[in-house]
Amino acid sequence: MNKLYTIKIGILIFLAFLAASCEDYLSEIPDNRTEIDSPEKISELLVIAYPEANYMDFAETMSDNVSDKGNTLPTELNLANYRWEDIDIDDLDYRVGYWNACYKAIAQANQALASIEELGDLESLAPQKGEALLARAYSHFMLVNFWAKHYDPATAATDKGIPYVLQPEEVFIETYTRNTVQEVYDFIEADLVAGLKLVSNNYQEPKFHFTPEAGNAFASRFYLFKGDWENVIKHSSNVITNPQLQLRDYLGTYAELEYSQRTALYASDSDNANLLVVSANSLYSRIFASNNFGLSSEKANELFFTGNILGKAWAYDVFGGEGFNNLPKFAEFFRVTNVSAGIGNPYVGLVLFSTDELLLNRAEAYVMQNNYEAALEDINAFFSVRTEAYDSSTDVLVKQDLLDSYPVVVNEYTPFYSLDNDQTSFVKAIAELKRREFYHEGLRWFDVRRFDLAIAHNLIGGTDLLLEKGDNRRQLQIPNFAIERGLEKNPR
Amino acid sequence: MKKQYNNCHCLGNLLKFDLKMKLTAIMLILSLCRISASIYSQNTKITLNLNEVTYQELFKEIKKKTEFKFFFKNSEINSKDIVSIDVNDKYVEDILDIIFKGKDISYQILGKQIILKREKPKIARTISLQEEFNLEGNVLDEDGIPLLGISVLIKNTTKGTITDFDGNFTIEAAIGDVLLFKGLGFKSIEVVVKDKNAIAVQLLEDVAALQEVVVSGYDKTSKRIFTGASSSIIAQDLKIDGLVDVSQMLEGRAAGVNIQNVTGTFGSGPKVTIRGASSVFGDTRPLWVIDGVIQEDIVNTDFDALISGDASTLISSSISGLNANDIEKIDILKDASATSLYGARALNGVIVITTKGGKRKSKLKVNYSLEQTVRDIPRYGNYDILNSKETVSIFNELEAKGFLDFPSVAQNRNGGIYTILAQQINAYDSSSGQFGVQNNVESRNQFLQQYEQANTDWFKQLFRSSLTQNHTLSFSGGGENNSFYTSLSFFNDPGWTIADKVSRLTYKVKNTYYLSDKFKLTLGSNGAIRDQDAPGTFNREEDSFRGSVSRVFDINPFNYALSTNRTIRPRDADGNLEYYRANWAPFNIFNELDNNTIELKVKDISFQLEGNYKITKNLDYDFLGSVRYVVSDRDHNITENSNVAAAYRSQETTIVRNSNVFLYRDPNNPTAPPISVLPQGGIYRNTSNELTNFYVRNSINYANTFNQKHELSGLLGQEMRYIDREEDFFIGYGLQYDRGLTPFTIPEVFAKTLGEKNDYFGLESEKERTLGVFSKLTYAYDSKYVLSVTGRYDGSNRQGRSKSSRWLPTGTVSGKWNMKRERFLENVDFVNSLGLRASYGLTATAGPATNSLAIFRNDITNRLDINSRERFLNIDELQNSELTWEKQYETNIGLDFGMYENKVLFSADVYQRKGFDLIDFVRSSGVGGEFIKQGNNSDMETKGIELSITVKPINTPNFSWSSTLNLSALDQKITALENKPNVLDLVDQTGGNVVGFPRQSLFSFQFTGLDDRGLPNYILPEDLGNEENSVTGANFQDVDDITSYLKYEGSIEPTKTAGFSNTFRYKSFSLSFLVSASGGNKIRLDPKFAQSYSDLNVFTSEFKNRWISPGDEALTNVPVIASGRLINEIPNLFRAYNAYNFSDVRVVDGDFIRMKNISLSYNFPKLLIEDLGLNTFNLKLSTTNPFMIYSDSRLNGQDPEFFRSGGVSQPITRQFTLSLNLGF
Repeated sequence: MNKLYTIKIGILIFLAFLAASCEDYLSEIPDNRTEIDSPEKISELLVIAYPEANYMDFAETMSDNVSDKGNTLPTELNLANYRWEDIDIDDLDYRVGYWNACYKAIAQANQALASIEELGDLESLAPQKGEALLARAYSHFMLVNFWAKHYDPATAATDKGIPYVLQPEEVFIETYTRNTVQEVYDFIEADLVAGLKLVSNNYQEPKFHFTPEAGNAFASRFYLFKGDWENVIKHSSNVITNPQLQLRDYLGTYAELEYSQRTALYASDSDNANLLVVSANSLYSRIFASNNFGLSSEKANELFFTGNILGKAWAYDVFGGEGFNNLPKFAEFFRVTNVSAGIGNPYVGLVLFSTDELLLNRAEAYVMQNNYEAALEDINAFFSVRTEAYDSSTDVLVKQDLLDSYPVVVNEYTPFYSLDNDQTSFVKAIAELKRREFYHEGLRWFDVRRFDLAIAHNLIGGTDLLLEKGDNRRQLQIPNFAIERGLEKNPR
Repeated sequence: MKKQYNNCHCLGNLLKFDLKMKLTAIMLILSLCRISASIYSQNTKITLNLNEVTYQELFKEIKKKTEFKFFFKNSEINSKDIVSIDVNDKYVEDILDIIFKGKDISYQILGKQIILKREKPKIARTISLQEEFNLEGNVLDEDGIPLLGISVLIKNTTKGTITDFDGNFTIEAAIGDVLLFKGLGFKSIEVVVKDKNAIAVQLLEDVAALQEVVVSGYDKTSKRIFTGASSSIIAQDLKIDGLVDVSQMLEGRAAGVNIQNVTGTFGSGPKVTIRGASSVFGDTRPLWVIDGVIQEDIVNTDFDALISGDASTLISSSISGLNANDIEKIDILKDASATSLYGARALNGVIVITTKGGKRKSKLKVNYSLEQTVRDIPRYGNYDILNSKETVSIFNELEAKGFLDFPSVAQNRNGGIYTILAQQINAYDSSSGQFGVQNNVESRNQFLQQYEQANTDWFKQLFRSSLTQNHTLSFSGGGENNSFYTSLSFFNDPGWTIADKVSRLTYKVKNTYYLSDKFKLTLGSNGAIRDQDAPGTFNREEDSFRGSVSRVFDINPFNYALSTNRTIRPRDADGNLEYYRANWAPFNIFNELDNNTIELKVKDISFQLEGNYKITKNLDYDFLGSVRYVVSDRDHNITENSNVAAAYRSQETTIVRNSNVFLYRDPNNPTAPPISVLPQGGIYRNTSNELTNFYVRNSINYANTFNQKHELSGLLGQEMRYIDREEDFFIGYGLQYDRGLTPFTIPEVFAKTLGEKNDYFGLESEKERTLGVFSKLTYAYDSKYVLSVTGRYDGSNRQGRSKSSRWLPTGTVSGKWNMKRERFLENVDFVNSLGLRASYGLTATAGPATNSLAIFRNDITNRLDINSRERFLNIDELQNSELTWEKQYETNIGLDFGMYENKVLFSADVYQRKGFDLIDFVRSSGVGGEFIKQGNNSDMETKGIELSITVKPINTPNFSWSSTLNLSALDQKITALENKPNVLDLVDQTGGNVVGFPRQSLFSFQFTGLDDRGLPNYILPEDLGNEENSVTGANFQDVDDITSYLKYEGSIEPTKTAGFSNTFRYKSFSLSFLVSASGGNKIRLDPKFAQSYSDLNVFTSEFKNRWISPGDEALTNVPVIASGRLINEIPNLFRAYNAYNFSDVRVVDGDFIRMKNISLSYNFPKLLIEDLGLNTFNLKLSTTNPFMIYSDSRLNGQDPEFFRSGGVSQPITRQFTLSLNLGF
C-alpha cells in the first residue's frame, strides 16, 4: 500500500514537473520584442508619450492668421482647413492623425503608469510617474481643446468633451464614451497637480520631456484657458524670472543666422526659450510656406510689416517673398526607410511650450486681476526683445498707449468671463502679440476659440467665408472611425 | 509470455482442448479457415539453419520463431525422423513446402496452428496424369531487376518454392499446371506451364496497393476505413519532367487544390490553396509534410510577400530542396477529419509527401535519369506593346502638348531618347568645334529618327533558350537486415535570362535496419545545396496613399522588357553600349545586369531517425526525430560601375546636385552643398537567414480485431517542435570590386546613414515552440461501418509569456459506410466498392497576431539632431486579452464509387467550412492608442464541391488508356468583418474584404465614358463642392458606403479549378497530356494610364485608339493624353487617370484553360536493352505549358496566373524537355 502511494506521488510529481517544463518551454519569447523589466524601460516608454503629429497646420489655417494667396491650386487639406470643413483622412498633418497621435501618447503614458504600479509604485519611480501624469494630461488637454467646446464653467458639465483614458487598453475593441468638458478638465487638473509635484529635471534630453519648467508652462496655459488667473501667474512666475534673458533672442542670436540655420535652431534643444519640443511626423516644413491659404502679402503686411505700436519694425524677419512668405521655424528631418529609393518619413521639430508664451500668459492674468502695472512690465519686456532698435529709455508703453492703440470694439472679445473696457483693450493687445509670436504655430486658433472671435476667410474672386461666434465648426468633428465605434458626433 | 491470437480466436481455444479427439472435426472446419490462416503465415518470415535434427526439434524451433504450433497424430508422423534445412527469411508456408517436399506429409495452417497429416498415398499421383519435371524459371520486376523471395506455387497444391537472389527458381511441375507468383508489393500473376522450357516472368509493382493507403504523416490508414477527404497522387502520375518545384506539378492533379503560378522563379514556388483560402488576413498556405515531418519555412511569406518579387521570395518555397525524382507519393489531406491530427495547424490543409525507400531483400537497382529542358523566349507578338515608330508618334504628341521640353529633359532624374538627344546637343567637341547634335529641328529629328527605327527586341536581347539539365542517380535495394535508398541529383540552369542562373545539388539517404523481428530503425538524411544568381533588386515600396507600389533600380529582365519602350537601344550604331538616364546617372541594362547582381547560396540539411518497436502483436511504439538546418546567404553586389553607385555620385550640375536624393546634406551645415558619400567603390548588401528545426514525436499504435467483426485501432502520441529563425543583414558602402574587394568607406556615409536613421546592420530572431498531444480512435464493424474520433491538444509560444490562448483543443468525428458490403449490393457485380463518408470537426491555426500581452519594441527617436536622439520603448501592439486562435468547423460528405473491377472510379465531396475568430485588421476609434489593430473579428463561410473520375476503358497488353478528370468549385462569403475597407483597398490588384463578398474581392470604379475633352467620367457620390467631380472626384480614402458606387467584379482568387489528364500506352509508346483550368476570378490589368508620360513609358496598342479630338468620345474609351495646360486647369487630374486604371474597363476574367503538359515516352526494345547491359532504357519528350487553350483576349498575352511585380519574379514559360532514363 505504502509503495503504491509512493509511486502515485512519484507520478504526480513527474507530471507536475512535466507540466511546468511544458509551460516553461512555451514561454519562450517568439520574436524581437522587449519586456518592461527595469525603471529605465519605463522612462523609455515616456520618451514618446508626446503626440508626434502636427496640429499647427490645421489650427493655423483655420485661424484668422491666413488668407487666400490666389497663386496656386490649394491642396485638398489646405482647402478643407480654410473652409472649416470636416475632412477625415489618416495622413500626415490631417486632424485624424493628430487625434491618433495624442491617444498614442496617452497609451504610452498609461502603460508607464501601469508598469510603475506593477513595480510597487516605488519612491524612486516618482519622476517617471510625474512625467507620465503630465504627458497624459497634456495630450488630453490638446484633444479637448480641438474637438470640444472651449471650457465654460456654466456649460462644461454638459458639454461633450473627449474620452479621458486612464488605463492601457486590454481588449480588442474597447467602447469609449466622451467625458464632459468639466470631467476632462478635472482629470487634467488632477494629473497636472500630481505630476508637477513629482517631475524632475533628470533626463538625457530634458527639452523633449516634461521638466518642472515645461510642466509649469503647461499649467500656465491650462489655467489661462480655465480662467484661474492666480495659478497662471504662479506657474508662469515659477519659470519667468528675467524675461529679457529668457525669451527667444530674435535681436541677437537669430539676427545673425541664415535662413536654414534659423530653422535648425528654432525647435532645437539649444534655444533656451524652448521649454518643450517634439519631433513630429509631418510634412509641415515643406508646405507651411507654400500653402495657398497662408501668409499672404496682405497678412504679412498687417502682421509683420506694421502693427508695432512703438512705431518701429518688428524683430520678426519674413522670408520667402510673394506667395511664399514665411517665418523660419521649421526644419525637416527625413527618416529614410529605403536609401536607394529615397523613400522615408518626414519629421519636423515643433515647439510645444516656450518662455514667450508664459510671459504673455502672465501679462493677461495680471490684466484680469486689474494689475496693470505688472501687466505693463511684462508687455514692455516683451516689446523690448521683439522690436528692432528698441530703446529702453524711450520705448516704454504706458496704459493709455494700449487703450489708444486697441480701442474697445463692442462684442469682439467675448470669453466666458466678462471683460471691462480696459481689460478688453489689454487682452486684445496681448492676443495680437501672441498672434505674431506664434505665427505658423497654431496658437491663434485657441484664442479664436477662447475669445469666441468671429473671423472671416476671403476667397479671391469669391465671397468671404464667415465663422460666426458660437459656430459649431469651432469644434473639429470626431474622426469617422471613432464615431463608428460609438463616440458621439459633434453637432454641425 | 502467453499470447492471444486473433482470427478464429475462439475456435483456436476450442481446438486446443479437444485436439486429440477432435482431429476429424478439425479437418471439416479447415476449409473455412483456410483464407485467414494463409494470411497469417504469409506475414511471418523466418530464417532456419538446422542440420540433421528431428522433426520434434524442428517444430520447436519454428514455434519459437513464429509461434506456430504443430499438431499431428503420432500414428501418422514420426517425430523422430531426421531432417535438415537451411533457409533464409522465408515464409513458414514455404519452409514447410521445402521440408515436406517429396514426402507424403501434407499440412494445413489454421490460425497459429499447423496441422500435419499423412497424405493418403497416390491420390495426387492419380490426378496428375502428366509426368513431372524440374521447371526452371526466372522472375524479374518491371525494370528487369531480378526479384528474390517471390513465392512460386503450383495452384491447387501445396507445392511451392521461392526465388533465389538472382530471381531463379526450380519447381517440380507438369505441363498444364498453373504457377502462381506472389510477392509483397507486386501484383500476383498466374502462368500456365506449356512446355518444359525455362520461363521468365515479370511482376508488376502493385501501385494500387500504394493508393490503397492514406498516409497522414502521423499514421497510415487503409482507404477502406479512412473517413476523411483526401487525394492521393503517385509519383508516376505526378512527375512532370522539366519542372523542378514539386508544388508546380500539383496543378490540375487533385480536386480542390488550386495552384497559381504567381511567379516561376526557382525557389519561389506557386501559391497553393486547398479548398479556398480559410483565413481572411492570415496565412492561407497548406502545410507541407515530408516523411512525417512538417517542412518549416525559412522565411514567413504571406501572399503579398510572395507576389512582391522581393529577393526573399527566392527562399520562400518550403520544398525547393526536394528532388522530384525521390517522391513516391503525395497525399493531399483536405477536410477536418483528414487533417485532424495536425490540430492547430490544419486550417489550410496538408500536403504529405512520402519519399522512396528501398526494399528489404532486393537486388541493387541503379537508376540514372537526365532531363534536359529548353525554354521559349517570349515574343512581342504575345504582348501588346507598340513598336518604336508608333511610340515616337506618341512622343511627338507629348512634345506638342508641352512635355519633353529642353532643357529640362537633360536634368531629369530619368530619361530616354530625349535625354540622350539633350546630352548630345550639350556635348561640345572642342576638337571639331561641333556639338553632338545641332540644336535645330532638322538635326534633332534626324537624330531621333535612328531611335524611331530601333525597334529593339528586348526579349531577344535579354532572354535565351538555354538548356537546363537535371541529373539524378539513385541506388536502392536491400539485404537480409536492411534496405536502402540513396539518390544524388544535380540541377543546372544557365538562366532563362542573362541575369539568372541556378545550380542545385541534392542528396537523399534512407536506410532501414531490421534489428530484430520486432525492432526496425530508419536513418535518413537529405541535403540540398543551391547557388543562384538573380538580378540585383531592392525591396519594393508601397505608397498606401496613392495606391501604387514601386521599386527603384528595378532591373528584372522580364519586367524590363515589358516596361522599356522599344525606341531605346542597348547598343549604339557603332556597337557600343548606349546609356540613357536613370536616377541622374547613365544606365544601360547590359552593364547593369553585369554590375548589380544577387548571389544566393542555400544549404539545407536534415537528419531523420525513425524507430518502430512491436511491443506486442497489436501494439506498436513509434519514434520520429528530425533535425534540420538551413543557411541561406544572399549577397547583393553593386559594383562601382553600376548605375546605383553612379547615382550616389551624380552631381554634374547644380540642379542635379540639389535634386539628387542620394547625396548627403550635412544638417549641421545646412548651407553647404550636398556631397557624395560613395566617392569610391560600390555597395555590398548581405542578408542571411538561418533556420534550426528540431522535431520529436512519440506514439503508440494499437490495432486489433475481435470476433472477426470488430476492428479497433487507436493512436496516442505526443510531439514537440522547436524552430529558431534568424535573419541578419549588413550594408557595406565603398567596397571596391575592381580593387581586390578592399573597402573604401568615408565617415560621411555613416553620418548619412545614421542621420537618416537607417541601420547598416541588423539582426532579427524568431522562436517558435510547440507541444502537442494527439489521439485517434477508429472502430469498424465488419468493415461496413466505420467510426473515427480524433482529438488534439496544442500548445504554442506565439503569445510569449501570456498564458491565455496558449493551449487549444481541437477534434473531429467522422464515419464511413461501406455500402458495398451491405446485402443489397453484395450481388451487384459491376459495383466493386461504394462508400459514403461524413466528417465534422474543428481545426485551427495560430493566426498572425501575437499580442495577447502588449508587444513592446525598442527604437530610436526620429529627431534631426543625432545628439538629441534617445532610445524609446514603443507599444507596438496593445494587449488583446481576448486573442484566440483562428478556427474553423468543417463538414464534409463524400462518396466513393468503384465499378467494373475499378476501371471506373468516382469520388465526390461536398463540404462546408465555417471559419470563425479569423484575424483581420481593424481601424479602431484610435482612443486606445492604436489606430489599426489586429484581432479575431471576422467569420467566413465556404461551400464547395469536388469531383474526380478516373476511367481505364481499355487495358490490353498492347494498348491501354486511362483518363482522369477532376473538378472543383467553391463559393465563399465573408459573414462578419469589423474592418471597413476604403476604396483603395477594394480596387487595387489584390482586392479587399467586404461582408457578403468573397475574400479578396475586386471592385471597380464604373466608367461611364469620355467627355468632350477626352477625360474619363465615373459614377461617383455627389459632391457639390467640386464641379469636376465625375472626373477627378474619386476619393481613394473614402470608406462611407463605398460599395454603393463601386462595382463588384469578383474575387481575385479562382473559385473553380479543373484538371483533365489522359495516358495512352501502345506497346512501347506512351502518350499523356494534362489540361488544367481555373477560373471564377477577375484580374486587374496593369496600370498603364497616367496624367503625364515620359520618353521612358511603354504604350500598348490601346493608345492607338486614344481620344485625340472632340467627337472621338463616341468611338473610344481610351482617354486623352493630357496636355500641360489641362493638368494645370484641373486640380488632381491624376485621380482621373488612377481611377481609370481602377475602373471596370481595366478588369478582365481570370478564367483560363491551359495545356499544361504533353509527353511522349518510348521504352527501347528488350533485346537492345539487354545488349547494352541495362535493365531499363526509355526516352521521353515532353512540353510544359505549350499553349493556352482559352484565356480572356483582353489579357493580351499577360499570363493570368502571373503577378508582374519585377524584382526577381519571372513567369512560367513554355518549355520542351527530353528525358532519358537508364536502369541497371
